[in-house]
Amino acid sequence: MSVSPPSLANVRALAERMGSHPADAVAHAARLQELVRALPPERADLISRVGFERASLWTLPASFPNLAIPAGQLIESEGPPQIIRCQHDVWIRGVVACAIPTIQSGEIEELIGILAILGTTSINYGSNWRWTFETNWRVDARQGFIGTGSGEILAPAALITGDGFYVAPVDWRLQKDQYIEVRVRPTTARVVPVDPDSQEDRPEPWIVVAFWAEEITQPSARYDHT
Amino acid sequence: MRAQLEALADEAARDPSRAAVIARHIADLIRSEEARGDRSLPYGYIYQGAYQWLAQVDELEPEPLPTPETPKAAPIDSTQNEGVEIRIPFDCLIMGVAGWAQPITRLAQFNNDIRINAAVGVGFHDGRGLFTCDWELDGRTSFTTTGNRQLMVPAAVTVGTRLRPRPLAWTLRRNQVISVRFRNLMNVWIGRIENNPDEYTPPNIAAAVAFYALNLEAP
Repeated sequence: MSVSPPSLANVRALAERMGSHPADAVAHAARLQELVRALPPERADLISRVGFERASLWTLPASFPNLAIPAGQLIESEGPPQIIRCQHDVWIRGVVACAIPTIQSGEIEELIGILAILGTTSINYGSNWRWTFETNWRVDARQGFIGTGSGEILAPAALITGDGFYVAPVDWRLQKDQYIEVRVRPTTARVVPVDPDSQEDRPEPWIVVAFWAEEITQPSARYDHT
Repeated sequence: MRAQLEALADEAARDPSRAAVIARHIADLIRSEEARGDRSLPYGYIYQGAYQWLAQVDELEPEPLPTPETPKAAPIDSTQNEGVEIRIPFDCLIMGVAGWAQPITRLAQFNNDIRINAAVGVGFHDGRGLFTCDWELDGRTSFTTTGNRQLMVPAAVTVGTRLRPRPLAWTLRRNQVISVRFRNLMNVWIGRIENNPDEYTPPNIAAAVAFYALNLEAP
């Protein structure tokens, strides 16, 4: 969707007409004011530079802060889905994700050891601690974006999302009030097995899956010179 | 010239009896601008984000998390901290945004801090797992939203790094104000320590969010 801004030539043409037809000048004064205000900023030709014209401004996150493995349960289960509602027509450009852990420990030395080991795990198996969960998403309850071809699955986040340094590219145009439904399932038990004798719930990391979006109705690049 | 044109057009709208005279003046201004010809900037300049505007905090303390003892504490995805403001000095195009953070070592806790601070945040580029952030423009709603509410999420999914900034194409006008909010996540990383004779507490962090901008006003 492109918006054609007025140019200096448009403004000059109207101004010249008003100047040579004073009787019309009064009627066109408000229109002249509108045109001048709608002029693109000077050097607006810079906005059309390939590579950043289509750049995202909005961060649309699905946040899962309170996941836990209940005491007595050995494996993680999928948490309730989170819904992202599009407030505008948007162009989703990419997906990123992360997990922030909470380390419970018996003492500081243990804390340091756990942090070091799990941090190295993140370097090896998924930056942003994306090794700690699987995820998928649906648009307006339609399935199939993350699947086997015959069914929907939850996939390792490290494989289908980026980390902000790298962004998993997508290319969706969604309309206002469409919604994205995100599901996650923690997988920390692959690295730190659950203690079957524990009497306490085991907190899982705070998981966030976010979509970077460009607003289409008022595009981030305000003027399309194509 | 843009400001001149706006002032003249506003005056013509305010006093239509002078619209014809003012319109001729506007036309003269534009003709002389067009006569000056192409003033394109040298190749290469326009691709450089010459301006780097930062919102930064030097000693950001962790905020309490909601517990039965502190029920009114801000939830993990919000903050009670005030935003740090960046005032836009000229019409600009913001091309990218990046973030960085680092925990601060305390002399009294040196032996613990130096090791914990090295271990926390491993796996996140540039410390972007140590804080949440968001930004808003001119006091309007944050650009991080679920569509139903605004919230703060880790910088790791909000900003890029200096090497790979998150691309933006955001045109802003002179005197607009970006307000960036931060929250320290060190007390999220460091949960309960059962045996804590040193009374270790999560450290403060230094953090910054940088916007990379092009000047859109005539040089």
